[in-house]
Order: sequence, then C-alpha cells, then structure tokens
Amino acid sequence: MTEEVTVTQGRRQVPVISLIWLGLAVLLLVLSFFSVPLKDARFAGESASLAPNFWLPTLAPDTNSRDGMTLISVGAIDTGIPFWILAFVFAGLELWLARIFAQRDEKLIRPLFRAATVFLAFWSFFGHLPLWDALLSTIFPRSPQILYPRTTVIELTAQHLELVIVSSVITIGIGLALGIMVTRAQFREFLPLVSDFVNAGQTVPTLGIVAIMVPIIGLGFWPAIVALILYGMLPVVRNAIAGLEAVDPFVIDSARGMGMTPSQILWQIELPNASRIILAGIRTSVVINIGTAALGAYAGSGGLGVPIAGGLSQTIFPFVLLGALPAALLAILIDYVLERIEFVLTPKGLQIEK
Amino acid sequence: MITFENVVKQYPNGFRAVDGLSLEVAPGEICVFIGPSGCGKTTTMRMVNRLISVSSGRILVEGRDNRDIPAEELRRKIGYAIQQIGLFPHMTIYENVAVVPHLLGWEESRIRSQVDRLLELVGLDPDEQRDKYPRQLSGGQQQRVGVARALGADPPIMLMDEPFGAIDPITREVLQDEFLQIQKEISKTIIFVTHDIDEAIKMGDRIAILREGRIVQFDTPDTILAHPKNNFVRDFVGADRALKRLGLVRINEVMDTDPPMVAYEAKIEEARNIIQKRKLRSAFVVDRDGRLRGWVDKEAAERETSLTEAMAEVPYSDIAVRQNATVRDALSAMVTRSFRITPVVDSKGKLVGSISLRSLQELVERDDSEASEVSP
Repeated sequence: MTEEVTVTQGRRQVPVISLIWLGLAVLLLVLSFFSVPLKDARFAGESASLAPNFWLPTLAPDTNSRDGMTLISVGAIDTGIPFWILAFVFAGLELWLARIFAQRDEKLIRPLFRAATVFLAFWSFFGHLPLWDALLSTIFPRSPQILYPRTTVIELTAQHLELVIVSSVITIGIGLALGIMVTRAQFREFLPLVSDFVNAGQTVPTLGIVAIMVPIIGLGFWPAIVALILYGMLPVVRNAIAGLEAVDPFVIDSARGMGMTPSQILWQIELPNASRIILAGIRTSVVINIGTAALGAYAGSGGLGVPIAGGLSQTIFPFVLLGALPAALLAILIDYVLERIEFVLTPKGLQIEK
Repeated sequence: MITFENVVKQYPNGFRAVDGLSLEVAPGEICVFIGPSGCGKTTTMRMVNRLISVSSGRILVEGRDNRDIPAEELRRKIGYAIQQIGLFPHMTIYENVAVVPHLLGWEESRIRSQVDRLLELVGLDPDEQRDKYPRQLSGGQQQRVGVARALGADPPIMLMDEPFGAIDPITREVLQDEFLQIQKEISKTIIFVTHDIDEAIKMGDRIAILREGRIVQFDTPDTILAHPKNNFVRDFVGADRALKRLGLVRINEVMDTDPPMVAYEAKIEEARNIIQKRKLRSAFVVDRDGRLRGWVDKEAAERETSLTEAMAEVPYSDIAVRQNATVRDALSAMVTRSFRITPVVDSKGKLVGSISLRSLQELVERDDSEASEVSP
C-alpha cells in the first residue's frame, strides 16, 4: 500500500485488502459464534483462537509501517508494536484459557472471552482512523467532515461505559433493595408506592429528566447518572418484586417449618429461586441504559452521544454513525454477556422444565 | 409428647379458629386430626411449631412450653411435611434432605450417611437419586423425599399436613403402607392432619375429630367407628362405618379356628359326616401338611363314591383369604365368589380357619346395636 492517508478532507480510496480482511473476519467470527461446541479443549481453543488471528490484520493495511512491519495503532497513537505479536499473544491467551475452561466452564468463560475479542477487534476498527476515514468518505463523498475532530471513539466509549456502569450499579443496588424490602411482610404496605414511583420514573422522558436535573445539579456526569438511574429502575424493581412473589409460598412455608431464619430464607431460598427473573430485569435495565446514556451528551456527560448530538445539529451524518454504531454494538455485546451470566447464575435445578 | 392445654387461636377479626382445645399426644403414636375444612385442624398443627402463634392456653412439647424455646430452634427439632411438599427446586435431593442437619451444623460426613440412610428408609436408591433435582422426580418420589427431609435430623416429633393428599390413589396407598412400616422402626410422635376418613382410620393410633375449633371426639379408630359420639361424627365417618370397621379387624382375630376339613386321603364318608354334623353345605380338603387342596360340597359328597371324585381341586389362592388380611377383604372375597364361608390360610397356604358370612353379619350387628345405644 503506497497511498497516503491523511485525516483531511477529500475523497480517498478504501484499501481493498482491508475490505477482504474485514469480510473474512466477519465470516470467521460468525462461524466461531455458531460453531458446534467441540468436546476436546485443544480443538475448542484452536478454533476460538482463529478469530483474533484474522481480526487483527484488519488493522494492518494502513497502519504505520516501519521497515515493512505493520504496527498497531490504538486510536491515533502509534504503539510501535508489530501487529502479529498481538495476534500471537491473543491466540496464545485464548488457547490457554480455552484449555483451562473448556471442560470446566464452557458456558461463561468462553462466551466472555469471545465478547472481549469482538470488543477489542471492533474498537480497534473504530479507533483505526485512516481506515474509518477511507470507508466513510466513500459512502458519504459529499460530507464536509468525516472524522469527529474533538476526541476518539475509544475515549467516547470509555466515557459511555463509565456512565452505564456507574448508573447500573446504583440502579441495581437501589432496585434490588427496594424490591426485597417491599416483599417483606412488615414493609408490604409500601409496595404500591414504590411501584408507582418506578413506573413514573420510566414514564417521564429521559430528556425531560436530564433537562430538569441540569438546573438542579449542573452540567456534567451526575445529572445524566440521576436520569439513567430513574429510567433504569423500573425493570430492576418490577422484576425483583415479580421474581420474589413468584417463589412458591409452600416452598417458603417449608423453609420456615424446618427452622430457617428470615435471612436464611431470603438468601438461601427466595433469591436463588427468583434469580432468573431478577437477572432478566437487570439485563433489560443495563441494555436500556446503554441506549439511554447517549442522551447524557445533552447534559455534557460525554459518551457516544456526543458525536451523535453534534452530527445531528450540524447534519454531518458520519459523526452520527461514529456514535451510533459503537453504541449499538456495545448494547448487543453486553446483552450477550449478561445473557450468559444469567444462564450461569440461574440454579441448575430451575433450568429443568417440569 | 405433645400436650395442648386449653389452646385458643383468635384472629384480630374475632374469629376463633381454635377454641379451647385440650389434648395429649402420647409418645410414639400417630394422632390424626380430621374434620371438615375450616375446623382448625391445620391451625392446631401449625401452632405446635409456632408457625401460628397461640392466643391463649399453651402447648407443651416434651414437657416444655413451646414459647420458651426460640422458634427456629423449636422447628429444627420438629419434622415438617406438607401436602404441597415444598421441596426446594434449586437444591438437589441430597441438599434438600440435608437442610436441617446443615442448620444444626452437623459434620459433612455425618450428614452424608444420614441422607443416604433416610433415602433408603423411604425407598429411594441414594446413588441414583442423590444428585437429581426435585423436578426430575415423580410426584410420589417427591413426597418420599419430603418425608425423608422431614426426618432430616431425626426429630422426635413430626407434623404432617395431608402429606399424601396430592398423590394418585394407588401411590397413596403404597406410601401409607410404607410410612406405617417406617413408623414401626422410628416410633415418632406424629400429628397427622387429613380430611380423608379412610386415611385417618388407616394411619391413626388415635383420631381427633374437630369441628369449629373444638374436639368432638378423640378416640381410637375402632371406638370412633363403633361408638360415634353424635350425629356429626356418625355422618362424618360415613354410612358405611360398619364396613370401615371391618377394615380394621384382622381375619385371625375373628375367624373360626376349627374349620370343617377332611384329609385328601380320607374316605368320602368322613366328608359326609362332617358336613352333616356341622350342618354345612361344604367342607375343605387339605393335604398331609395341612395345605388347602380344594373343597367338597354336600351334593357331590352324597353322589360320588370317592373323595377325589367329589372334590373340586383348585389352587388355594382362588378360594382362600390370608389370615392377616382384614375382615373387609374376606367379605369382599365372599361377595365376589358368592361363598357363604371362606377358608383362611397362612402365607404357606396352610388352612388355619374359616370365616362365614353369618359370623360377619353378627359382627356388624353387634357394632350397630352398641352404637345405637349412644344417643346423638
């Protein structure tokens, strides 16, 4: 590749080799997701390790070359590390993990690792400015700007994740506490109140909450967090209540009759039996939060909403894509990971159909 | 031992579910609480392990007022089995049975052998069932696990609330029989709640019939059937109580131990003599070991010239009843085979007695006359 790629205006060529790699990588990734699980850990590890081997070269064609060796850039920063080293490190790590976990815990560790691989690969892709630039300028030849000039996708994603993680942890904490509290006999009278409150939280438009919070708290991170907490509370609380109420009352009666204390009944009987419904609520809440967090941009919280908001106000579509695509992908990946966690955490005895 | 002293359960709305109930359950007996729904039988049972609090009066569990013992500690010493079973679906069979031993802090090795022993006791193969989950078992198997779990830490007392109520009739019979067998081994003091009078008669050493929170009659099944205290009890035990009572009596308690019999090798005259002398229509034929070979009736004995030609030779199981069966079984056998008299054999087929329709009639009539002496 001899063409010069610069972060400037103008029509550029998409490097053909990049597109070929991209196609191959997507194909292999799809195959690795749907492949029949192999019993032999060695084969499982090797098949899984194929994905990053094919992924990482997508970075290659336009990255800085030094002495004919392709180097890895993270965002705009040239790390000076040849790409194949990372590919080998990845392959080795994956093989090693697969060997350790393939037999013991194929349900969680491998999916997690797979999701991490996709995450790294995609964000290398979004962060790979020359490639991104070339690709989008082909699709939007008339767009005045292609690359978001203020910051990188990596940084935006980090901010976005921070918003989601902080708000979700608080939401889950408060939501579970509320759900557990109002299903205890002595606090049951608060159930309608809490129920109305969380319903109202989701009925009021998030943008409205953000707008109300800004004059109260000011601009920045926290008004967005408050809005996300209020908005994400409903699925957590509703599912916690539904899950705990759905536990067979005779199961609880047996537990009492055998001499379990109320806290033993909660932790050893009620929560495990309600776990599937509770975890489903958490998953819904987190995934909703990933989308809603984009609105935080209007409160100045940063995140992937920033280029979306900027792109919409200036009608620069590539900016919108730069925020929307990673946000959507993030939601899908986290949903996938949470689904696996849900599966692993649901007690085995409950996964048996009656 | 469980003692109820003038126990009252009154709800805030003034309703008295249990109204001044006094009763003593002797050690090692199965005491059945029975009555129409709303009679307070389950409430009374649940007050023993303090799942429901007592409004006034007191309940002594092995001599101690149960309110002096912390609720959880009390419950861990009292086995608890309910109709809905309430197995913990997220735990394996092993973990379910081990719940109370775990709560009591037993050592793992002791729990392990205890669980295996209990599963065997209730007729489940520990190696096969231990690691399964409740949803993988049939209703009958689940109820067995429920009983094993209630026996978890060998409590001296057990509370059982219609434990076999939700199971099909055939399996229920099997489980009842098995449980009675187990009780012979373990001799627990048991309060057994049911609404099924047949189950009460079968399971109970004594039966307390409850109505509107009070005891109407507290007696052995036999006495209740023979002498129902009033119309309520009489209606409750049913119009067929005479028949039910026959179900309580073993054949060997009432049979004629001198059955009309002739030896297989005997002459025909001998058969004629016995039939004539005892004014019967037939006699039983036995071999040298006393085993039942068949029977000979009056007409054939007079017509034929040898016993072998006169007799009807049939397998004993076709005409005889076992001596440890109930009189009700004997009656049923006689009705279906249209016999007036049926031979009684032991487990090896040896003729040990006979029972006649007339003697059963006398038994029933005696009960009826005794019963009608009691004014409603």
